Amino acid sequence: MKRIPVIIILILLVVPSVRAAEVAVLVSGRLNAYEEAYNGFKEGFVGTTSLAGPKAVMSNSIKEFYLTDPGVANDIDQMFFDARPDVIVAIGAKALDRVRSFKDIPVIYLLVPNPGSEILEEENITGVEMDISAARQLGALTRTVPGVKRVGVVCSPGRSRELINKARTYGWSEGLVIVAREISKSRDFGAVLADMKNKVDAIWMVPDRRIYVPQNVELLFLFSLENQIPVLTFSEKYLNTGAVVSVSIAPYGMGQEAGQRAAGILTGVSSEELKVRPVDSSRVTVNHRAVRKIVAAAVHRAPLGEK
Amino acid sequence: MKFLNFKPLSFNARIFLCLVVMMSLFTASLYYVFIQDQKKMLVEKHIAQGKMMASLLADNARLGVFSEDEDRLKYSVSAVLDQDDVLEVLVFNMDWKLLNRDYGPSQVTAVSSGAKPIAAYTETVAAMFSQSWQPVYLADRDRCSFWAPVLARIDNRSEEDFYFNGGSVEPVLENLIGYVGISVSKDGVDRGIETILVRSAEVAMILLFGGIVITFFLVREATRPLDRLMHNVKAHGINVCRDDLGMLEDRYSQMVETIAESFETINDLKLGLEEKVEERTRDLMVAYDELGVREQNVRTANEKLSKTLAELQQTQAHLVHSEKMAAVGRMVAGVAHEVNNPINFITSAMPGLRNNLDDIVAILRRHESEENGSFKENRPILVAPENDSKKIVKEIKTLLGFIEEGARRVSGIVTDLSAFSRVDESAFTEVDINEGLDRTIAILAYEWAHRIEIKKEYEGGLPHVSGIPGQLFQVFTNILVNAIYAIPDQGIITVRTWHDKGWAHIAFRDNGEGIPEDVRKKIFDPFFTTKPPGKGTGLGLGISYGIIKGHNGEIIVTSEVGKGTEFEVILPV
Repeated sequence: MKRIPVIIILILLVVPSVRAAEVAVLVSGRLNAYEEAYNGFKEGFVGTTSLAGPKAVMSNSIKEFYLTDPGVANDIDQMFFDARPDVIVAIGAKALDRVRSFKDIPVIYLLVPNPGSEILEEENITGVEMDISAARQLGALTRTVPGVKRVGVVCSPGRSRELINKARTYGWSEGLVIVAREISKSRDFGAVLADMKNKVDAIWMVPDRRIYVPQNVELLFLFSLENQIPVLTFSEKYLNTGAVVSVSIAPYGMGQEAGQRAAGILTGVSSEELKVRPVDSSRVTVNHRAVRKIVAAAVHRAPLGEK
Repeated sequence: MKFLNFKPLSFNARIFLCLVVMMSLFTASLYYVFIQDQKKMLVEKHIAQGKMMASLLADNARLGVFSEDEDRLKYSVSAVLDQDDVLEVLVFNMDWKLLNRDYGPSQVTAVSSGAKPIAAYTETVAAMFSQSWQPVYLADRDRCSFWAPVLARIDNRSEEDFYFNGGSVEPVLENLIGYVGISVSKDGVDRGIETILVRSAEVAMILLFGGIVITFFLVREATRPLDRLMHNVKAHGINVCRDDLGMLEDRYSQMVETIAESFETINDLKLGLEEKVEERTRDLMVAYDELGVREQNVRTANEKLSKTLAELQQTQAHLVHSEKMAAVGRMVAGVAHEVNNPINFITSAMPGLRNNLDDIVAILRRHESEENGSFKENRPILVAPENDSKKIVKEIKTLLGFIEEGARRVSGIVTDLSAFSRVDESAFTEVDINEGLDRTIAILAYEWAHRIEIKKEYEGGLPHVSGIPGQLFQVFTNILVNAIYAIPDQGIITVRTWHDKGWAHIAFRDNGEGIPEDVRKKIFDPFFTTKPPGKGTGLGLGISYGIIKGHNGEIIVTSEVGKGTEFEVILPV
């Protein structure tokens, strides 16, 4: 019993020196996708830190900042400099761009399309990429529209080449033929698309902004509707304009993955494990209305893959 | 407004003509303004439709221009070519390279007429679009053209917008990527204007015609009072010319002059009249004063008359009292006469009875003397004692019978008088008319019993009458007294009673001298009498008339001179 007071004194001396971890979350704006990702982050982070590491005895704090809120965009640098958070989480490209200057604070990004090679070279920056594997995308297409054999894809020179190569690899094993066309000018998209008529059973819309300018997005879905050719897309956004199936990232799952990474940083996970990696979470959404109008009509016209 | 004074026409015709001219001018002005307005609206509508068509074509051709897809452009243009009056459709890229050219069915006519090709406007249009991207309208003599820029959206979205919904707050920017031009013939506008002209003219003519008809009837109704006036003027024999208003104006001027003269005359008369009024006023004042004096005199006379009336009323009361006293006197005389007879019965019997009593006393004394032996003859005995006593008893019985008869008669008279003893009572009771008549006749019998026969023709069971018995018997007495007076010698009075329909009738008919017509009218007047002075008051029948009226009854007199008179009293049952 004489040891108890000694233990209490030791705890009182030690505990103040163990500071609770602070996580600063900078969000580019108030998009639903950002909100979902942030909620997933909190879930992944809290679920992980409560089970591991010495700091688990203290409740870690998460502070969020929205760049679109008044004053945040101007003062965020000073706020982070003063607060010195243990981890910064950047949700969205604008948020990542604002925190690049903090070289000594670990940064985890998510929902940033094409972050750029210079970002990937930064040692304190890691994240979850939005690239979804070709196999997952094409698999969703073949499940939604059985009988698809030839998939057309239009992309810029060099861009998406790796994705297309992986698709071709997947296609060889699944009996799919990837008909890829590269164009350097967006206005050539119409002519290429016209050329694909009667040569493909489906179009795969890859995330290439140089190709898919608004006019070409319209042309693509007009072409799809006129020729009864289903479109596989990378975002649920294009389901409303006529795509048949989308394989998109799941912001909530992506946030969970980022939360686990943040927890790993605080618990001293090796740098090898913290490399940028593609997202694991994705979701497949089918536009049944488009399936009825495009796929069903195409089936009545001629069996897919037998043109 | 001088045309209104166009003399050969009547006022109605001038007004009608004026209104028709005004209405025509108004319709023509309205027609002109309407046509100009419609033309302007039609042209504006044509331009607006053309610009809208060019804008729609530019939007439809956006993808075709962007991808320079000729097939897609032809498809976009085909909808425009179906429109009427479209001559030609051109599509250029932003470097004015012609991407598509199509012709409408009307182009042949336009080309053959030598119209300027639409492509000739490209420089002008390019200059205009360098200022603004609004649709442009150009026109020459035969046709017009509409131009619109083909705009493509600039991809100014963020990277996130490429993936997610709802992220972009950037405004949509557009970029010029080409031009469309539509050439349209003006024939459509010209046809529309021509149609509007014709239709409007038809409507205007119909409205004008209707307006003229309505105006005709309105003018006719509105000038009806003038027509009536002219008719009245004609009726007075004045010659009416076509210029009715001028004639009326002349007549009006004449009337004004006449009235002015009349007013002058009236003013002159007014001056004299005022003097006369003053004079009359003075006379009236004098008359008023005199009237005051007369009023005072009248008031004094009224006071005297009132005093006289009071004296007359007092005199009348005295006279009524005298009448009553006269009736009482007559009654007393009758009663005295009637009572006298039974009294004579009694007084006549008294001496005989006294003698018989003396005889009885003598007989009684003699018997007493004989018994005592001291009989002393003081008085001679007139009769033999036995025979005499029987005779005396018989006489006494006879005499007592007279006395009894006399007393009975007096009692009957007293009973009859009792009916008259209630003359001052005022309460209505049930009155037996037949009985009352009997008693009245019995009281008055001494005056007529020796010379007048009375016949009673009473109705058996005559209903009783509600009345004051004393007053009714006084009426019967007065009538009977007059009847008796009307029969100078021997005569008959018939008293008859009957009832009919709720009324009791009592008729007194005599066969006396009758009453002349002039007298009969006055018999109920107070103080009228034909009797010598001191014999009658002249109030009897007047009072009777008042009593019967007070009983809600009536007295009817019928008389014929030389034959007799009948008084009929009618009383409610």
